[in-house]
Amino acid sequence: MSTPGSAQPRPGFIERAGAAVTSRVAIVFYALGFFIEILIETLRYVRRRPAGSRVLAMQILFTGVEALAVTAVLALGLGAIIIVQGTSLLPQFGQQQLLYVILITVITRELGPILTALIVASRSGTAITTEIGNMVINHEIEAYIASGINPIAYLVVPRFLGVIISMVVLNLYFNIFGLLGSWLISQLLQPIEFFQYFHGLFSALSVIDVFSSLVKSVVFGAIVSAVSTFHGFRVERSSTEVPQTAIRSIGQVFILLIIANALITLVYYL
Amino acid sequence: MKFRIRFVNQVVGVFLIVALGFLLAILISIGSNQRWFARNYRYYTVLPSASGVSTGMAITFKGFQVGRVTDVRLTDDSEVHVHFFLQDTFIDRVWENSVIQRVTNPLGIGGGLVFHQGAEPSDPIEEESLIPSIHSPIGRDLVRRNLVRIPDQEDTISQIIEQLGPILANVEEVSESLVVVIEGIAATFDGSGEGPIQDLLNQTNRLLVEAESLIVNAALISDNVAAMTTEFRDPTGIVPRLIDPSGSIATFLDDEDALFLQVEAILLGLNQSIAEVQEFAEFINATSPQLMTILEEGREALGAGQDVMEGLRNNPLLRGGIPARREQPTTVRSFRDDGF
Repeated sequence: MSTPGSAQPRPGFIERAGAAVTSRVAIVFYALGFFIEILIETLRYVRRRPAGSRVLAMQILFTGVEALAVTAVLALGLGAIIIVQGTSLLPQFGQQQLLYVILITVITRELGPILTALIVASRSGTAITTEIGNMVINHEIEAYIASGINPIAYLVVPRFLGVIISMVVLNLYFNIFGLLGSWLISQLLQPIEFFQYFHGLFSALSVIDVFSSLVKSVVFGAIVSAVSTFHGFRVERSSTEVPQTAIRSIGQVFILLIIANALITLVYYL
Repeated sequence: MKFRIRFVNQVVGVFLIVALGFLLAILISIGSNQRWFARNYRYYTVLPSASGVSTGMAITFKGFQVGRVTDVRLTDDSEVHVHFFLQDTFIDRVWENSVIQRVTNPLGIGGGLVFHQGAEPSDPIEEESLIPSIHSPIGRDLVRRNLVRIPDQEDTISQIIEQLGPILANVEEVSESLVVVIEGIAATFDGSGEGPIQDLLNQTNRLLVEAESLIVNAALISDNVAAMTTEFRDPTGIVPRLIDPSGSIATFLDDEDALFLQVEAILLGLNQSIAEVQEFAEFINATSPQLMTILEEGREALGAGQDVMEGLRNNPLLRGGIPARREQPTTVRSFRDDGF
């Protein structure tokens, strides 16, 4: 026991490691509880026809509509590259029909959802974290609570739903531009007959592919919005914490997106 | 206020409705291309193996896809049943005696199931019935009787493989023959073989052994001839002197048997000496036991003497040996001793 006035002894390595692990586990459980709270409030939000519908619309506007241009360009470029490369390489092996399988595998099943998620995370995830972090610093969250408004219901749920809906819709647009729009670009380089292309494409595309892609979008949207809002609320008092938290948030989002993508793909092939 | 912000609901609505419209269009296109609402006629075939066959594999007819594999099962009888459907647009071509062929490609691509139409038009085969495989006895019989139309292979790789098949079979036969020949040659050289070559080799071996001994003898003869030749070359050698008309041989042969008689006398003398030596040897043999006894006794006497000498040497009275004998000078002096 230390005497009054004497310096506290520095904790040992094991003590510090135990404290770090305990802290991490506490954060994980806190995040889990935060996510469950979001899900519960989302169900209530859908049932009571909320007053925050404009927040949801604004979120879809910022996250979905404003990201459409970037998504479209990326999808067009990717689809055109696959078509051009496929039409020049695959006939050398007599496997032209594999072009459609490659297109669907790359655009619909794998790269479409993950690239869309990365775009949304980069644009909207950081924006959400920054916005909520600034609201915490400005004591707006305390004001909501003082007014009897649940900040998760009013601030998080519209963003949660808005990002998920935007992600799903953007993924659909990514597929449309990637699979259909890229055919237009390919006409400039390697013309393919219209009916031949779409017949082959829709013969190779299955509902499972579309369903898998949409499931990925929903999961990715949930990850981006939940992690971004969670880190936004972790800002405590200083405005300098906001960019640091945003960087930490986007890093975690990327890691979780890659892990989730791998897990869903594994489930798809099981 | 910006247009987007003012009409946010409309913008978002259009954004969502267009996406949903595309989703519906995609699903309808998939359904129409994949014939979700069309009737499929189900059949099955029996294959020797399921390798290269998988669910979803296309069934083609003259290069067109006319159906798809729906299930591959291993029955309790260890038969591979492949269930598939054929499209309704094609059902009018599914005549009696049609067969299914499994086409494999060693590159792992381009294989699949091919439908071959029966030769004679008929009503479609009843649904859920067997369409035999071309690999089955029924299928082979149909092909042999020309009851099924088998077009030429259009796939280049298949054509090459078809041509490679007989060539590889011939190469295999030649290889097997070569193996047999090589084994026979190895056995022949090993000595464990049979046949005329082995007999010939055995005879050759025996001849070589005989020839080797002949060569040794020939070498000896050759040495003798060489020595004789050397003697011939020497004018003072023994051979010219022997064969000289006035040489020893001529003299020996022309001395009225004097030399012969001397030689005979010498030989008789030698004979007599040998007889005496023989008698002496017999005497020695007869007396050898006595000699042995004497030698044995002598040896024992020497041993006893050795013991005595050892005892004497160990006698404490005599230890130190026999002292040197001191000469006692005589007291009688001669006259010559004093300064003579």
